[in-house]
Amino acid sequence: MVKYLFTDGEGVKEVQSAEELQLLVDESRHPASIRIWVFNTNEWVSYANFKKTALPVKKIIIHSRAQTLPWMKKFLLFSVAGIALFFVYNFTKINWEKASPVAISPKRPANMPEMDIDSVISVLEIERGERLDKTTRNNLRLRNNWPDKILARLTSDRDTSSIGSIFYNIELSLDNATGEQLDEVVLRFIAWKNGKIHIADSFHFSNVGYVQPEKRMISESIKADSMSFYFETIRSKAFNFCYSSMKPHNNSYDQWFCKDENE
Amino acid sequence: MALYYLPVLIRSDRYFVARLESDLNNDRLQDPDFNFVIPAEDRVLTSLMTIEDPSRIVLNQMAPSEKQDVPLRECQVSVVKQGGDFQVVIRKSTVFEVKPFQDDETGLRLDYSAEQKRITLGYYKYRVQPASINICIIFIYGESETYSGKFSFSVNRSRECQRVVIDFGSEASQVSYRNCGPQSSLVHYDILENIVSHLNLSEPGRTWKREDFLNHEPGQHLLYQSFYAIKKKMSPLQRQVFPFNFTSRLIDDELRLFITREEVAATEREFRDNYEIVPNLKLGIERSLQLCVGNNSEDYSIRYYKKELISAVLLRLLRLMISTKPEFRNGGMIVTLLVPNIYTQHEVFELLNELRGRTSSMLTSLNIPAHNLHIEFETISESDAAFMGYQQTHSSDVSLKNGEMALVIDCGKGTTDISLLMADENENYSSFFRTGFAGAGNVLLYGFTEDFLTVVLRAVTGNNEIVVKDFISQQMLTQHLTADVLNFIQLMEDQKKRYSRLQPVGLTEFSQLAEHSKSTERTISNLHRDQSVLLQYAVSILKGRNVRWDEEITGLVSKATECIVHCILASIRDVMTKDIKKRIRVVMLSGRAFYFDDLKKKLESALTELLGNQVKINTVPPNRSINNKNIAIHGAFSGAYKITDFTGIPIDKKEGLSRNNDVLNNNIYLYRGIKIEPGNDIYYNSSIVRRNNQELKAFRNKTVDIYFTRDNIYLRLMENQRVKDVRSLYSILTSIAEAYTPIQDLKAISMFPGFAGELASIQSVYQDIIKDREKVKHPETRKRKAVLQFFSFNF
Repeated sequence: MVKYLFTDGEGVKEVQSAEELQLLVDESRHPASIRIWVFNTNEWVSYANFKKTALPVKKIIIHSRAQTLPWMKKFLLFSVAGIALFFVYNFTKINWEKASPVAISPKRPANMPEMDIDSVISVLEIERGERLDKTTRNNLRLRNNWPDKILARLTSDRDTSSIGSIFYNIELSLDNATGEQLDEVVLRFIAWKNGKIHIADSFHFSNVGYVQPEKRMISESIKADSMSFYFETIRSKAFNFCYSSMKPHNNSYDQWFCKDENE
Repeated sequence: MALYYLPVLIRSDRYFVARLESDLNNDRLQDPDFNFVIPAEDRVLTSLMTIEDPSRIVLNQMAPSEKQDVPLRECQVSVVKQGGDFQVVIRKSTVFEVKPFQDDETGLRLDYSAEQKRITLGYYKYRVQPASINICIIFIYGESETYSGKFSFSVNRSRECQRVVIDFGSEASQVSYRNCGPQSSLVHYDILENIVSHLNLSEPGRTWKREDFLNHEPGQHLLYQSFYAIKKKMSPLQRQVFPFNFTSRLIDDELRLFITREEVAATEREFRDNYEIVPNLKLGIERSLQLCVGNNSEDYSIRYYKKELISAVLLRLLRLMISTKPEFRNGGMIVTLLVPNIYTQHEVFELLNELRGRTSSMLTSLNIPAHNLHIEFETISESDAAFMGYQQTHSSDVSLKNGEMALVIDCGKGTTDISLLMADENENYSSFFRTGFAGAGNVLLYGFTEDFLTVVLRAVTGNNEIVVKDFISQQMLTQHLTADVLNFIQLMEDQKKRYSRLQPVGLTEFSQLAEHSKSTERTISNLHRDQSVLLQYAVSILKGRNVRWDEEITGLVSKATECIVHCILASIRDVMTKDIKKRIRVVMLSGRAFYFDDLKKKLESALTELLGNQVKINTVPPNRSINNKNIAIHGAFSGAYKITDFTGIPIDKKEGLSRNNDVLNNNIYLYRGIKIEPGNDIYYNSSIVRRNNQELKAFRNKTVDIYFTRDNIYLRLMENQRVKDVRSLYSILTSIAEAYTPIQDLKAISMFPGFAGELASIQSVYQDIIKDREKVKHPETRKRKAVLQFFSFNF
């Protein structure tokens, strides 16, 4: 259906149909000032020009009272009653409306500040008095830049209503772009309601490869205001890495280095 | 005087056509024609140069003379040592022969394998000794007639060699590198972070952050927004070498790689007095700068000096890398540049030459002796690289048989690049057709800008008094990228990025949106009253909101999308002969513009209509570490040798490739036996050769051969077994863009907001497109003229 904007010098009105436009034109107090904007164009046209270019609009015929028949009165009465019942039902029922889907990525943890690894390598090389080998450099890069390489994402469909939101088809995906296997990753998931934690759960991923992202569906639907998640722990023997969200940043060069898995 | 071309393979990843000029020519330069870097491993035979399938290789003669082509199978090949240099001697003979050669001192050897069908000039040593070897290819035609080309090869230990790929985007650039040693991984280089560290070190007491720079792209750390500035005042001495006066004081550089937000703020005058901002350098913006050279002024055309300016920027990026990475100061470096398809073969060659010529002064500025670091430059098309990246990372989606093709459309921010690639029996890909145009994501940005301004200045006001085009011209284009303009552009970018997630609201609600502060009554509906602050307050009202205006009021965003889709289809429609359509199995879409879903959907539907349902359309999956932008970088590291440096070969309008046996046999630099007939044109990338061109009068109704060389493309006419005429293809090309107005309009729009002239409205470009569509649907029938009009019969 073609939509319009209408003005006769007293503000701009949005018009949803040709019939509604015709009514506004008929009722206007300043017919000479009428301008119409047809949607998907970029200018106002006078009513005279509009009539020339636009499709002819059928005049709305308003029947006089004398012409209405007695059966029409009954019909109108039942219709009004029916509409009233419909409105009562409509306003008392909870209407879930489909809202835009949600996609969340965890924030970079506070204990993982961004670091210029090249300068860290230079400092370590000066401290140790020798060049770091390639594997050590690579591991150092991975340990200190892992938020760029280990990417998690939560996607969900969402319905909203006056009483809040319901999330469903919730999927967690874990994309390991380190090029090394991750032995264990724990993601902490939190659903929030009225500013408080409503549901909290941990999701364990073991032996995460780097060929394709790992995906996990959270089967149930969740009624909540919002959701968030973060990396709780990550372990990878391949690059001597143990991360924990519980440990604060200690200003060392290579805080997440660990040789022993139990360390 | 004759001129010969010989195709060779450098290392195992670069196709190269060596130019052999007559040694009787006294004007020849004594310097090597080109230099190459060879990463070598201990006890491994490393190929320097290979001649593949010598039975089919021909030394092509390309000058009008009585000399003919010489098949390599009628030659003897040997190597001669002369002092420290070597000569690869190709002597005309009656039988084919390769004389093996080995030099223990340098490790150089010549081998021929009949089974593998290749002559290899290789390097083998127990321990690799870095060395520079000059190799001269000499073709001896007769005792007194020789043709030669000189090349310099720098052999380095592989772990001391780096491969660097520079994606020099019109809007955003990125750089990655990989050590040539075994098991090395690809590392992205953060340009801005390194500039910031450099500035912080050179200005103690001042702490710069990424967010302080226009070059920072929020959320995309590895992308570097391409904003450069040129110094306006210089001495006559500096002007002689401008823009190649390299300095370590980045803040005072004559060609600055960065601009701070502070510098473009309304209160700051000093920067504007001394520097001029140059956006969209890659597209060759039509603008002249007023340089102040000593006491004189000089007009400096950015378009005219595009090659120098781009080289200067690229060398500065390399300089930054070398200065921040100590391991880059010695050994070798192979630099691959991603180039858009709008660059011709000649432009690519000129750019490579400029870079080679200026490298030594860049190294001198870093106090690096030229013999310590050898740099080789090569190019690869952006769309080809994107395809190779996709093929490497999603090989199951792209598996083509011999002769099957892939269509690649890379729609970035500033340019759209299109390639047709063909697979051979070993799934090596050669890119035989490329085209493209300036116009992609930026056209969408302009669509959003025009849409918003039309709503605010016209729809909301209820009249047509304000002309949006004038507003854009006065408040944006002539303002030279002020902070207000840049912030507004950022707002429109944000609206574009979040378009599908933002809730559209009706005009009434939208016009009532106000600033967050309670102390102001400024709303969208009264922004038009003071146009000088419209951009500024539009940002403060809309920033951070989750709503957008109703795009259907003007429909300009949708029209901008359709303009791009139409131009893409117009660029390929003519080359889509039956033969080519039959061979296309896969279409791949890449580039940041496809983050805009509407564009992707419309293009997919148009391509399905053109190519049929059986063609699979692939896109880079979102939210992975390899994304629409960096996939090309990954592809450039793939070493797809049949792609490097080539800019495609011509296509016959009637026959497509079906008659081009050379290309179908993977001789991608040849097209023999093409007939010059009126009414049947030749397509060459973004250009067309009209066969009724007056320049081709001598060629008319005759069969010619077309040859690709590294610096040119030639049309050659033979008569009585001698070369009668040779014409450069470039001299007779007509650019499709010149003949096709919407593409020209999109070029200007894609330079927004840096364009100095008047920009066409999306509405008017769309009108042109509608007319063009009508023409395609109902082609004009030629009216009979004069007497003939009386003889028209209608049955």
